[in-house]
Amino acid sequence: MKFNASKPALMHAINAVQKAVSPRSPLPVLTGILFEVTGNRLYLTGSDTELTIQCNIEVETETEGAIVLPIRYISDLVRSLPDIPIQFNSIPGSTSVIITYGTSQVSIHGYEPEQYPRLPSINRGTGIQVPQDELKEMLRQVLFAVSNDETRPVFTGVLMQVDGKQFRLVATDTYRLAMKNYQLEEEIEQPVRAIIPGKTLGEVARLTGNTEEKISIILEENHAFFSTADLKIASRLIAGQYPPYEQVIPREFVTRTRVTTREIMDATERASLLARDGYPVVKFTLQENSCVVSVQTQAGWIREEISGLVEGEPLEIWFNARYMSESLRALNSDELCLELTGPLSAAVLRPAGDDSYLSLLLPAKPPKD
Amino acid sequence: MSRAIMLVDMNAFFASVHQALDPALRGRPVIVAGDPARRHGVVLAASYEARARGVKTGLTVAEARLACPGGIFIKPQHELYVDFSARILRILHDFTPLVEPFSIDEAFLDVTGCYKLLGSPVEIARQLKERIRREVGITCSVGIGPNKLLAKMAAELQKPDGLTVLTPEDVPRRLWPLPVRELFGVGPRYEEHLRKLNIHTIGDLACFPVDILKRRFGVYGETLWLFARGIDHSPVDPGSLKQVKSIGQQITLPRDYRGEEIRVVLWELADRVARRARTGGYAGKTVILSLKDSHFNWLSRRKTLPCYTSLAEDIHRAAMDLLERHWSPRWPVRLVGLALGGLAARLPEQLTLFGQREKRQKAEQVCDNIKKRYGEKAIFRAVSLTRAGVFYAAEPPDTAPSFLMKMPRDR
Repeated sequence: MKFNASKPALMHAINAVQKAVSPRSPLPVLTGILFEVTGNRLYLTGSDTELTIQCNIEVETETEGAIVLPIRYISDLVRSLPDIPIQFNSIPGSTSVIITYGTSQVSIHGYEPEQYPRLPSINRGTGIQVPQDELKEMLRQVLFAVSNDETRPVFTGVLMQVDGKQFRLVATDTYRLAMKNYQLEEEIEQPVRAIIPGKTLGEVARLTGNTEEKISIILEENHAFFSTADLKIASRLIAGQYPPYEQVIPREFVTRTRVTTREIMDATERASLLARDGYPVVKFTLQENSCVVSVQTQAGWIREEISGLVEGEPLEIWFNARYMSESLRALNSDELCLELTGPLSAAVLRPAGDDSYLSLLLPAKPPKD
Repeated sequence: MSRAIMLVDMNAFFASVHQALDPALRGRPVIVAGDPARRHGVVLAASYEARARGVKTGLTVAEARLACPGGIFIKPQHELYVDFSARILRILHDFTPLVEPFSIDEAFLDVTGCYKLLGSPVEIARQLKERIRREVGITCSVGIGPNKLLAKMAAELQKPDGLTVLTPEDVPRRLWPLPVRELFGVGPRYEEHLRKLNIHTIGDLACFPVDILKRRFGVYGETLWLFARGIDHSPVDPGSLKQVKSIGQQITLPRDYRGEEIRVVLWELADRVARRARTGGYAGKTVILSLKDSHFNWLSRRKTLPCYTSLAEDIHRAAMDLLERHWSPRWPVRLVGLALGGLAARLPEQLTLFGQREKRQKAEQVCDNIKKRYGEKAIFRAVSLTRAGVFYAAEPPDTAPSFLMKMPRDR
């Protein structure tokens, strides 16, 4: 294997794939990145066998070939190289590579490429196309609600559901739930559901661009694939039954308010500064034409009144301040529509005038003294 | 505003309790020791009469007998001391609500606000000494100072039955000549560290450059330096002893357990730990599993949970996770310990979406109530009926759960 490449192109590709590699894997070959040259393209692959990311860049090929290089060295090394043409040359009959830059050289020992996991092949699955910027924003709106509790794997994933023209993402950690709908251009014949690991989608969100260019998503029985012109991401799906989330979305409400998102977010965050021990819970009092955010702790008290239209009965409800501000951040709207069914049941947060998104937030029981 | 802090220290507490209960013991050398029958028992407390003959806390029974052949050895009765301690605390609470129990036989009082009501600190001290002597039958030493440190140091200066006032002005004259080990907060380890810096008396420490102490010992170095100068800003905190850090239980198994069997014991321990947490109103964030085999190989691993819990199911799940991660199913286990740490009290309770958590919570709460009313063995997990169960299945259940009893049984 021998090729010439530029530093920025190599950096771009390494950055794209390295999050899929676990540098402390007990299998040595899995601590590396696969370099594969065919034609005039270099394919870089990172994989922990669950998640595989492949990025390709254009290079000047002299001979084709492949090698696995350890991420611990190759990533920092390339980052520190000068921005001049770089040549990779693997020594025939060995697993080392010599990197030449200007008059200098560095050699790194790697591993045989044969044992490295390759991208799973796509058989036939349901495929859809979504503009990258739309998907990125959709993911941002739901990923905050993914659980990181590994003991309940289903909640560490995002439910991806395609039915007819509707493409839906749902995430919940049982304390809150976020749901986003998107209207596809083409209709899908067979409805599909898949639970995709939150980590995978975090990478998809990180790597997709702010462009209208489309990303294609293919859902198979055990895998999900995401691909753009220079990027392929494959991920194992999470097995299990997603909970019946539709049943828990309240259909009616007793109190509804519309307030400025920014105001309620700032108030919540200020109030949470006084509630730092244990759970930072803050009281929200909905009364005639205002929402009062308040809390009293050993440190002191705070009270902020935010004017807004309140319909229905006055209500007092407690929320975890951190959950509340994360939900508000994901709302993507200047105005919040908050619907409540009681002090001990789920609140519904919607961006005013946008039906494609909603999130649920479960309250906390009022603290006892 | 200068504060008036008091430390009340019961003299030779355990021994005094026995002397208070039994007039025949008064004026005699009473020694409370581990187990007088066994030679390796250790002296826990000695009356002043015994101390006069050289009996000190920490001696073995054999040594104490040698020093004081006429000594009266008594086995410790902890419930008794707890009871006496509570009676004394109640008396202290008659003077001020700001009472911080410091150990079983010591308590700090903040009497700053009592002047108009009860008189000067010295008068208050006289009154409370008198009441404890009359009502409980025990003498105590009282130290009075502008902070907890000086109150504590003052109480140490005169024992038994003392009443000493230390003011900041007294510090150079009365405290500085004392060996540094006498300073509150200096244990044998720090004494050794300080000796290496040629600090032998409290005065040496007070005159030592504070920046060197800070560099050597961190914040604690500065705290000790301030202590040596008689400065201490810590408040009298009535709740300090009530702060529980962890709730745990361990059990030595009747034989070596392996794999699945350990799971059963973990269920039983998780249930007990969770129940104790719920009773105290606590929820915890860390689960600590300790395992030992019969060859003294041991292991202790902790796992932080995603949220606070007081549910046996969460604790068990985390414990199983630790077990699978760190212990082979083939390795034998002789002792299992399970603890819930990172405790917080009276947390607001976060509700969940699908109601599963609330259901489990309700179930465990109901079990608590049943156990409280009908006894520990009234309800337990079915796994406890397997051979591996330790807490419940030792004897076959003679009253089967009622839902299994279709027919009335003749007994």
